[in-house]
Amino acid sequence: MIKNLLYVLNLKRKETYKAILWELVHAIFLAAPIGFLLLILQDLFLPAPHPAKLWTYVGLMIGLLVLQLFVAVRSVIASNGMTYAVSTDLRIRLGNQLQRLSMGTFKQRDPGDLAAVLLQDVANFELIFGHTVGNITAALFSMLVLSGFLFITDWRLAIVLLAALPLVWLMVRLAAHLLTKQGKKHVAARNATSARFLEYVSGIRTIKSFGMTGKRFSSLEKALNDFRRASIRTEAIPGPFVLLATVVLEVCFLLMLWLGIHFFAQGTLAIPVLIAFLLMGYRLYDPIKIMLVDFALLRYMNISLGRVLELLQTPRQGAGKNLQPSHYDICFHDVSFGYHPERKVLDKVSFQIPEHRMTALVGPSGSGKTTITSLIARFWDVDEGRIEIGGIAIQDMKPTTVYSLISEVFQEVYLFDDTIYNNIKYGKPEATEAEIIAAAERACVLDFAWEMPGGLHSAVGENGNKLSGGQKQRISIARALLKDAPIVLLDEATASLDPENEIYIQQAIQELVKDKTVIVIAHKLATVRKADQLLVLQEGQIVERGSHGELMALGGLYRRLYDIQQQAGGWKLGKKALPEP
Amino acid sequence: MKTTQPKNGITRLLEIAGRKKHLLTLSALLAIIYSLLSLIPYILVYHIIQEMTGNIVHVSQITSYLIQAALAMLLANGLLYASGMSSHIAAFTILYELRVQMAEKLAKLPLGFINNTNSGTLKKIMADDIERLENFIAHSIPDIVKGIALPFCSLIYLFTIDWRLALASCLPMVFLALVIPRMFNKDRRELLTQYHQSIEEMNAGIIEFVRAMPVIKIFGHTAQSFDRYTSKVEGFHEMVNRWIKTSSAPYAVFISFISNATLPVLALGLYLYFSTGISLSVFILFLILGVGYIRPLFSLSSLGSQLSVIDHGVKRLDEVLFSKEQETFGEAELTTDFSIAFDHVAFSYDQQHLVLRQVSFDVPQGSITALVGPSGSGKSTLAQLVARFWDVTQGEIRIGGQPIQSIKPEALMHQISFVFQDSFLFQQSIYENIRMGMDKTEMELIAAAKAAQCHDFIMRLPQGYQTRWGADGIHLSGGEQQRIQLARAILKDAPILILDEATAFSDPENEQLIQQAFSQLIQRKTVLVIAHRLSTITDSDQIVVLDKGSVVGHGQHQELLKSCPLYQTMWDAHMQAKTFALT
Repeated sequence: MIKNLLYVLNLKRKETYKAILWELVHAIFLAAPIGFLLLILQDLFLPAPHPAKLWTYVGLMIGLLVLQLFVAVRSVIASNGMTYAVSTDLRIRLGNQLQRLSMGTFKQRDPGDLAAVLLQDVANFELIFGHTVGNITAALFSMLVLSGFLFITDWRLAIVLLAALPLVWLMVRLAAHLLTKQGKKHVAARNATSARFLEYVSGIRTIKSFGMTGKRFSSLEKALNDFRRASIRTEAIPGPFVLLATVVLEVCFLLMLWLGIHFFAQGTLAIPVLIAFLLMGYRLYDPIKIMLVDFALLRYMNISLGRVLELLQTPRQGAGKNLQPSHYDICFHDVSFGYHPERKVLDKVSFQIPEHRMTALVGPSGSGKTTITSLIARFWDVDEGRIEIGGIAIQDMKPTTVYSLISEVFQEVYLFDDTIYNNIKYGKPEATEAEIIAAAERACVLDFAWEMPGGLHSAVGENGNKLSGGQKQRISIARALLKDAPIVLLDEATASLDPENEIYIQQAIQELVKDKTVIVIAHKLATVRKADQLLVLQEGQIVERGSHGELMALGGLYRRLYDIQQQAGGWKLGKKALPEP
Repeated sequence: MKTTQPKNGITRLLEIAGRKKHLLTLSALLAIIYSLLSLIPYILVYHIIQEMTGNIVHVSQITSYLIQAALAMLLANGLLYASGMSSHIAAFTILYELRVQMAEKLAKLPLGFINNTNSGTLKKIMADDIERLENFIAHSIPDIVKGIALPFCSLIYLFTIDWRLALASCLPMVFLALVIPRMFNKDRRELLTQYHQSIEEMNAGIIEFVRAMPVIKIFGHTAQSFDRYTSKVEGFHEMVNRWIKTSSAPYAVFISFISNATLPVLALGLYLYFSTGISLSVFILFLILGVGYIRPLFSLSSLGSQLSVIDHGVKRLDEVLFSKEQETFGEAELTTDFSIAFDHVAFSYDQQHLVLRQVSFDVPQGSITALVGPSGSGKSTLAQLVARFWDVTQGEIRIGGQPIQSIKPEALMHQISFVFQDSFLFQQSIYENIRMGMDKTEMELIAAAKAAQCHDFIMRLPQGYQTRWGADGIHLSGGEQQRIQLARAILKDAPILILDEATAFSDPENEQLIQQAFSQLIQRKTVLVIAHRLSTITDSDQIVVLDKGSVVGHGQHQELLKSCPLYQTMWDAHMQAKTFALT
């Protein structure tokens, strides 16, 4: 925990020192009243106390109180200011880091999960640290001063009081250990609940139609009940140790009292000293008691900080040099790649994709087609081998350069919560209105946009949820048309996501691929039969390559796949057409 | 229909906590006893000082006092633990119940509720908003009890010793109670609203920044979007700094007066000590205890802001729990007639734009009816109205002559099978995924799986039917998932089948198998199919063509090719798409 904290505090050193300084000054003011109280008590036990002197003390206390008002304002501003300076810095660093992570990270990690680090985890730090930082500095400071003072006054009693500390430390470690162990189960149970609940919500139609609502959907009920039990255990298991630590403190205090009375009876201890211990002893423990209360919070904060640091320290993608290819043929040299080190998805794959030609990737699902397109776009970096665009290795280029060369049309589309017009414009911010309308027309966006109340200026809703899948596809194609990148990566199946509009999307895609270097992932082989080159993949290797005619003549895997698809020709629903059961 | 409105604020929180009244009462009682016991060391100290100032010290007696005090502390903390555990058990059980209640409620609402609500929002209510109640039930309730009981007991005790000093010890509390609320003036409240707004703005900015990152990168807009992100983050920082400055004053007053809370007792004590001669031990008792009791009040000081956060969450939960359920006007059961009649059906999702208007046609029992039309024509909506995922806005849908709103929802669901576009598999065994809670034997289930052409590929899975969907390395193709859905429907064997003919069915390698699975499924059923690919439904008994919510054609394939221009256009486009080749 201390390591994590030091790391983030180091980000804003000046603010941190300032905050600590003010907190220390404030701690003096916090401790001052007890000091005066002690002085007053010392005097009261004198045979003849001086009222005037005592009233002076009271006057001084009032004076300090007025001063303290000012100091407290400064210290709360300094320490909160520091907390939020650090959290702002963390947010900006995280944002900056996100830009530099490989695109693959975004495909692999749930975006909600990444956003949660920037939202909740940083906010947890803010709230908890802001709330506890003052307490902790003041506590540490006053503990040091107080224990020093008590030691000088009477070392025997001081030792008894301080003896509690290692014991308490032990208990806290034990509680922390148990909490960590139980905490993992707790988090797992909580995540399971969320997963089951999302499943329940997404599958609600199925669940309703089978009458499995509420408790009858047993996997949700079980997850909720498990979570309830795990939550109770998380409270129950470390609890006794934390409370036992409190008992240890109380007992040590009573023990000190007992010894004090013994010493007093023996005549080795004066009453004022004992009174001082009575007052100060409790104060000595106060910070620890506060920390015991804040303990769970601090650990919670630490878990959040851990996630923040983990994201900050995720390796970034190499920045590359400022190289710009002048032509756009693509070349794979012995490329190997796997999402997990032990499982290769591509194994020593080599091929050429000529400029201005269409190359189709064919093969069963899981054969590595999508991986090839992801590697070209530098979503991931290859494990072995080299990918070149126009003779320059893509690892030597800046990721932004590589992206600028590529348009992609995949099944997932992200639209901003903005108008159709602005979503298209995103492809080229400096585009004129005429260019945007032209792109919208070529991608068949105008076909549906003119029917909407606002035309091209209609809002698409959060992530485009006011539009159908095919409409979103066409907007993304219009955006790509406007970007006019020399290389197009394409998943042919996107067209069949919206069967009613299949032909329009096909036409839009046809517009997009004109005169480009095109790599298309093919599902329906007839669609790509005119491609200049077909690469047939199986289990991460290219098993056949050539034109449609060549591959058909070869009579291998491609031929087999093509024939199956041609014979199938669509299924039919109807009782007449069915064989008798 | 439930017309009861949710209560507000603290009343509603207490109502929720009231579900576990007994456990919480126990927790409160234990907390009170704890408070009483924790006074013992103070009282003990008082007696010791009394003896010491009297200069007669009975060491052995004090020793036994001290041992008793230590035992009392042990007992007190034991009780505190028991109090905490009972309140936590109560809390977590209530959270569990609320979550189950929410899940049940969601299923009773029209489907539109879930469709119109982001699933992340619902998850947040279920996971986070409900979880926040734990803080109130498990912590705030015992804290309030302790925060009141401890000062109360202390004060009573102090008043029995010396009422004047006891009054003086109340002064800081009274002062703070009077001053602090005055410092929360209107400006500050306004700032607080702005503060929350600024947080929301920043959060929205963060979410967009993260979600859009892939697009941002692809289109090379990193610089601009990062600037936008930074400005949101810095905007919040500025707001916070303003907030800190204004809220620092009340905090400073609070902390300064609390740390100097001895002053009134000290001053009055000194005066009394010198004038009327109260005993030194009484004076010291007040100096220790007269200030100590303020500490528990500390924990109450943040209660207000905590409660408002919790209350916010409960409001969101209540929006779900108190949403209007679908109404049913009768108890009719379905018998043997499963023909469906659409009678002047109109429907609107938002009470403004009609998605369906004046739709009338009959689906004879045992026939196949296909709904076709461009996307957005209302065909999917129409089919879902039959199962009452929504209720019609005007007109009536009848099954076997009975309006569906007069049929018991369970009975209605019992007679209808669905095959959806997205075949939804749950993260449980394949066996449970097919069984779906139905009361069927293993034999029946396997027979259904065989009929749906699933049996062979299921047996190839590592643990056969017991293989857990979602486990690592378990992959089923889209077509295989669809066939599991078909197995469910075959097992359910309901007389009415509503079918979304969907993209995932285009699985050329397995076409023959799917064809067979369907032939099993639709025997003797009344079938309503939402068709996307016209070639699939050319053999239907009747085809209903919808455009912008109205019926524009009605008949069989060949007739429609002649009589319905829209159908012709769609057929041509479909044929064109089928033979399309990229060049």
